Amino acid sequence: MSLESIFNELLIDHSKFPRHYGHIGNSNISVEGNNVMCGDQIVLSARVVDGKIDKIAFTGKACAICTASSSMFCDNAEGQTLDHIEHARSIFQKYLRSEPISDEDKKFLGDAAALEGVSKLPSRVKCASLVYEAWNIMRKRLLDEAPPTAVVTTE
Amino acid sequence: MALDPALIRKSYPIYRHFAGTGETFIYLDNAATTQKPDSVIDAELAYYREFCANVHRSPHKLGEEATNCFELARASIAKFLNIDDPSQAIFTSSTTGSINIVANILAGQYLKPGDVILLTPSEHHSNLVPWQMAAARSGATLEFIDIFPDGTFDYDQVGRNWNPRTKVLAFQHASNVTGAIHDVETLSGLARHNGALSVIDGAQAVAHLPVDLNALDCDFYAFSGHKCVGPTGIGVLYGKRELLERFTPVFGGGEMILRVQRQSSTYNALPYKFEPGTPNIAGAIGLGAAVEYLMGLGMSEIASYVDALAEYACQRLSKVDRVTIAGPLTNRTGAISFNINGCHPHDIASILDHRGIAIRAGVHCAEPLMEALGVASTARASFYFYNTRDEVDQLVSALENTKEILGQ
Ligand SMILES: Cc1ncc(COP(=O)(O)O)c(C=O)c1O
Repeated sequence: MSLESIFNELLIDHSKFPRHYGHIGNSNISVEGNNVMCGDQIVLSARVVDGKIDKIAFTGKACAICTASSSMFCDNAEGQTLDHIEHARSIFQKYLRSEPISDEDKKFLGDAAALEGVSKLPSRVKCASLVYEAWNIMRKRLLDEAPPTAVVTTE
Repeated sequence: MALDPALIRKSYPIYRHFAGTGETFIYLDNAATTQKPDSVIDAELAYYREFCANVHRSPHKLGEEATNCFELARASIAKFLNIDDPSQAIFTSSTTGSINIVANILAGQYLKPGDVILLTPSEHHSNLVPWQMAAARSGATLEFIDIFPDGTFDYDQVGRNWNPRTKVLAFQHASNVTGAIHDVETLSGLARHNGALSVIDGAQAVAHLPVDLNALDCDFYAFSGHKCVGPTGIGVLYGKRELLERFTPVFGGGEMILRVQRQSSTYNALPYKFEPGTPNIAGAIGLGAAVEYLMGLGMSEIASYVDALAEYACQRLSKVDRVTIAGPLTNRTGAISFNINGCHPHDIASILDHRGIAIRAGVHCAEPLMEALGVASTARASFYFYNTRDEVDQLVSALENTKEILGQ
């Protein structure tokens, strides 16, 4: 896979102009993702209403892959139920492990499908995964399955 | 005589390997670990193949030969670092292992509550975390020298700001991030003058410049084999004789004792007192071969070759638009940390890797330094004597291409 297709236009676009970047008023939950070794740091926050992600956003300083992945994730997650987003997470995990996924599943990922090339950079999978791990803890906290102070890492 | 990297590479299996496959192999991660020449690999192999036996205990020919080679390696290291007496060179696992031994000894037998351990904020975690542990154990506190944005500092100011409660001054001879080389002689003199012990992390320095421990006159000095063309898993702790004799070991076991009774033991002489159990025999023999190899090339020749190459690399890199170098331009090793505005170090490293150029990205085990430099992380290209100007040029053009790929 060429560098240009790994760092494709969509990835670069999301990294340079991240969607859902910033703070949201009256968010009711946030989780920090921190990959200390490489210096990626994001905070994912959401406003959850009636079991749905009404608003979701992230802030932080991170590499192109982590920023783009966070942006794509939020794009996909807003307005969705916890189950819907959890399904996206499980597809994305397979995708990053280079396991085959159906066209339907690929569609489900939305823009995040553009991160296919990251699976060819084993040391960078953790960058693309950070927002999903933060989401995983957020979901568990919403379901009362995780303590409130969790900071996550994928290192 | 000036070093010839083309000739040097002929004795490195890894360069022969990639010359054979035709793959691009530009290895610029020497501050993490260096490549190994034939003589080092052969020395380790010879031990396992031809005279594998334990040292200092087996009364047979193989045991004698292994012991002999093991002690010859120690003698080579003593010559390499100009240590008067080889028994002051203790084999350990690494720089990290050496510093942990010293910090443990000082925490238990020397530091008192309220004492100060003075460090620089540039320390590798391996010369910081052991001192945090020593402070917690002894009731001492940590203080830090102020550094300039390029990682250097003002020695006079260290003297002027000296806290009389300082009992340990621990610092790196050279930084793995900024490449800055610090003046060990001046700083350890300052420590001695003020009644403190000096502990030097030589991990980056030993590979790059002639180190004369007699002249530097520090109390403890630590380094790792793998950063100076030697094997992994072997390092050295040097200590002043009176200190090594005064302190008791922190690890007990076989080999480090003279007599053992049910309730107590008497300890062996130096250096064995600090070398419990079966040591890394092959590693020590490999390290002996490594320092002989370096002495063969000449440490002054290595230093001037790498200095010139690093100067060239700094010049070329600083002309790349949006590149900032985090370190001094002179009096430095071959480790060059930099950032490109708008490009994250990890993205840079991945893209370069795709082009066959190996660099490192991240915080380089020096998180507090990143804070002091005001960056989250850096990219780092680190050069050694087998690297060339042509590789610097290829790095620079790959960086230009990286900016394009990342849309900058
Ligand atoms: C300045 C410095 N100190 C200490 C170390 C630790 O060396 P080792 O991991 O071999 O113990 C390193 C290596 O990364 C280093 O660069």
